[in-house]
Amino acid sequence: MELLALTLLCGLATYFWRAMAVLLSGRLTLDSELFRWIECVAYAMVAGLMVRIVLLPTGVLAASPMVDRVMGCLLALAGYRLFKRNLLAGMGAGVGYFIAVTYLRIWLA
Amino acid sequence: MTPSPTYTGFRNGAREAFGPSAAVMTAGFIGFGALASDSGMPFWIAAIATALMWALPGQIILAEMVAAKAAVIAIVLAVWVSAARFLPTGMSMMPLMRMHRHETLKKLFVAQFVASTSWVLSMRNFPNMPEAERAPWLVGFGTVCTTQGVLLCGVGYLLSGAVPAEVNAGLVYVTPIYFTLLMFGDIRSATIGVAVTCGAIAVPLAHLLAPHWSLLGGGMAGGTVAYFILRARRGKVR
Repeated sequence: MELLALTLLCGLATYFWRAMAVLLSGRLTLDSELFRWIECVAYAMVAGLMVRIVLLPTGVLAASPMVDRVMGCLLALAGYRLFKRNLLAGMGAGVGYFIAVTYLRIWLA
Repeated sequence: MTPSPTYTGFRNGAREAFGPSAAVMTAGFIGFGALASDSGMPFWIAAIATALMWALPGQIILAEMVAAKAAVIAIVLAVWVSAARFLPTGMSMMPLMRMHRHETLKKLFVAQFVASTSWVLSMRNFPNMPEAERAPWLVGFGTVCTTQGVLLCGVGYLLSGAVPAEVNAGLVYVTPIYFTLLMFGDIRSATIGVAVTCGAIAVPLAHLLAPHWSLLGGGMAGGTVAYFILRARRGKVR
């Protein structure tokens, strides 16, 4: 029961920002300087979150060596470029490598 | 009879949910289901978290902090801070959908489907889409993805015993790889290139100073620097 209340609270905490975005964007126009700034912050935040997960992970991901995580990303980028910007090819290369190298480390240990 | 923009938009959005982003979600939510199971979270709680929060990093924080038996207030605060990205992403999406100023309830409904994946795809697809189709597209994409997410979370829950925890971690890790590809592999404008680079530098730096506030502080700082770089560049072109 306590866990349900906690989950609902987390849902509200997440939705808070979505609702704020609606309420604050009412008078925002596409060609304003404010809009340009918000767009920059949006890209910076999402990119920053992803880089942070790869370079400075917490929890389960922190168990994997940095070199595996970075290599996974680089291989994904390489696969994406080599296969004419195919997202699935990139994903397959990156994730496949990460899972394979993780299994390999478990077996070698 | 030509189909209405609402129908066309919804259908195209739903279809997009079976594209490459679906593969990412498959892995991400299987990973979350497995993590939730390892954390001792009942399946229905994990399903509610997926349906309501619809934000993988926040869900992972919830599962990990529940497993670590953290205080309720600390968990809610950590989730709240992690979701701050929805303010700028939501604010940059809303004007593109051109809903009327008085349609606040409709906007508040549509806003539930603002997530990092749907935002990146919207910024990509909206320019080629009639304005009337954009909000229905987001709702179509979001509802199908949420449904898939809940189902896949169940799959992950069942798999968690069969797969080593390190491999589950690999599934959670699919999300950052996907975003790496979307943002770094396909930089289509100066705005994206400069802002992505500034954020990628500022957030990890901020993390070393104040881990809990790195996303909010680093994102704001990186975005602001990017904004001034871009403004200076625009000034030179003129």
